[in-house]
Amino acid sequence: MSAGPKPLTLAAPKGRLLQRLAPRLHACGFTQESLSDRDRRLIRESADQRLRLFLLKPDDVPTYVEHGAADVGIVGRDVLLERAADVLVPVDLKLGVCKLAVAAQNPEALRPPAGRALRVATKYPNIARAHFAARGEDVEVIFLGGSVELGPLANLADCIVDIVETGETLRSNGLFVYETVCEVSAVLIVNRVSMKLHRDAINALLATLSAG
Amino acid sequence: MQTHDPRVSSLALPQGMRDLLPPVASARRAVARVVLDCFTRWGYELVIPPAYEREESVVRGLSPQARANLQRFTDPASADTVVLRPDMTPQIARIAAGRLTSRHAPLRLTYEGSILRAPQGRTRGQRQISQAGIELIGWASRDADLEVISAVLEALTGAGLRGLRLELSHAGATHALLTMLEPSLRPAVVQALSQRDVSWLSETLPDEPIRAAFLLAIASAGGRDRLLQATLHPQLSGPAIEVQEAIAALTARFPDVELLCDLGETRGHGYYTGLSFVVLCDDLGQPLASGGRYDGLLREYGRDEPATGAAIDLEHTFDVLTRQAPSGPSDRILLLGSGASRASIARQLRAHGCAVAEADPMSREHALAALESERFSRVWRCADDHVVDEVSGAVVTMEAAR
Repeated sequence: MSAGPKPLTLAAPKGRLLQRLAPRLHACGFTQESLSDRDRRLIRESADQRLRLFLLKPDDVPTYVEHGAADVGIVGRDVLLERAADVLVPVDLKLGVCKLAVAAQNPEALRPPAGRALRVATKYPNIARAHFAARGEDVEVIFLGGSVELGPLANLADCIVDIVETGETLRSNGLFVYETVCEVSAVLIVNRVSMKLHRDAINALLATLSAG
Repeated sequence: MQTHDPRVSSLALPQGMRDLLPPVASARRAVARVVLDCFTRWGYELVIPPAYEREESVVRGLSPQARANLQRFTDPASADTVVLRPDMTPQIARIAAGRLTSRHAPLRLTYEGSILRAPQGRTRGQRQISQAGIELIGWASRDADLEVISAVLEALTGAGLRGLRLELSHAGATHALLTMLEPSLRPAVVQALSQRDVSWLSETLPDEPIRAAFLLAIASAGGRDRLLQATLHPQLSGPAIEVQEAIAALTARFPDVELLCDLGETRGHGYYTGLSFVVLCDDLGQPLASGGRYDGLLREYGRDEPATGAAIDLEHTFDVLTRQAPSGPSDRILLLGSGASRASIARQLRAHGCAVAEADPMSREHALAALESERFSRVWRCADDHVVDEVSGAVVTMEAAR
């Protein structure tokens, strides 16, 4: 990485994805210790101090990058699809591949009685609305912040649109996948102006992060 | 988030709107003046278009995205749909084509004002954007492009900005790439190209030469040496050579400005047809200025002439200026006294060009507090037939005031 006057900032989501990225972040100069879960600091520094890491909620990663508070971000494509952010998306890491899917207790649940719209519980209201609208289906989207699987069980909704990775949570709650909305994986995003101002340093960082 | 307490919410500004307060507002105005003065010295004449216009007039030439972000309402006078202007260039094009028909090309017009955009998503900031810009109409030459770029760089350096970078791109490159594709594929590809989504493009583009052309355009970004390969490419060579030559000419004119290029850039290409550019600065995550050639836009308004232009974002320019060189307290005098003598002294000072605020006599403590607050640079007290500086106690002469 070329020496710059100020360090580059990388925004990454806390949690599962961060653990998967650990080997690549080591390659960028973050020690095992600096990535530790027990560390409560929200800003971590690489050993050579050329790189700073912000640990954020996944939804907030595009916000930091779009505003230039972070130069580069790591985020699931689902987050970008749900809320268009004005950023560059130069690399798909093909990491954490999973899918957004429609799930329900049984196939009948997806066919509500005539005159009533299908009720869809989801953390992804825009994706859900677009998915059903593309097929000309009128649905009532119910936004939930988490534990979306409970929606159909509590009769709040007929079905859910959610991320499915192993399917374990669905199975435990008696839900089945009936349709795939799209595949999602982790992508690297870059602030538009940062890319123009620090192109070489950012390309070097992207290359290190994409090297599996 | 909207608050539900009516005592609070009724006074809150709409999202994305803001007030500029003293002393920031006048400092911001001063930047606008420096910029407009510079454009005037380049021979541009001021026009002041209206804040809103009929939608059908404004939208000619706007990209689909820009059309989606318009602030529309119905004009009570005519029941026409009108839009708050999202961009002043179409207005200038309308004026040049419809109002200034007797003037021969080239026309040089400058403007200053606010444009308005609809709120987009939850992360966007300001919706009202103050701009000062120029449009050079009826001159197809490379010299016209270089003139617009040079005037903008001079205006920005004249306002005091340092560490500028200029990035050149070319709408012809995007156009050349898209004409290789089926029309149905183009909207998605434009979106992916705009995001430099190499993974998606590699998977989606139908065949190898097309894929290679897109990836080459995206790789042709950075210093001018990155353009070399594109200058040899059958579809990209025209735009690449134009950018290369512009960089060569500007390097000589602006040795302190770092020059960059990006053939994969698609932004602002709603009506651009040729060379386009953004001005950037290390201290800011947004462009300070942008512009480009738009040879088709005037035809939409009935006058078929080539044109090129640019706009400076005054808010961004001002933000960077205050970061690079914070301004001192404003140069204002607080004149204490009473009656006709205070009024007469104040009038003399104003005639000398001083900014004077009058006040009744107050305690020394209060007077010094006014200085402390930095709202005033000096506090003077009227005494009989002369004026005394509150801090030093010295008698002030009119020469000192100047």
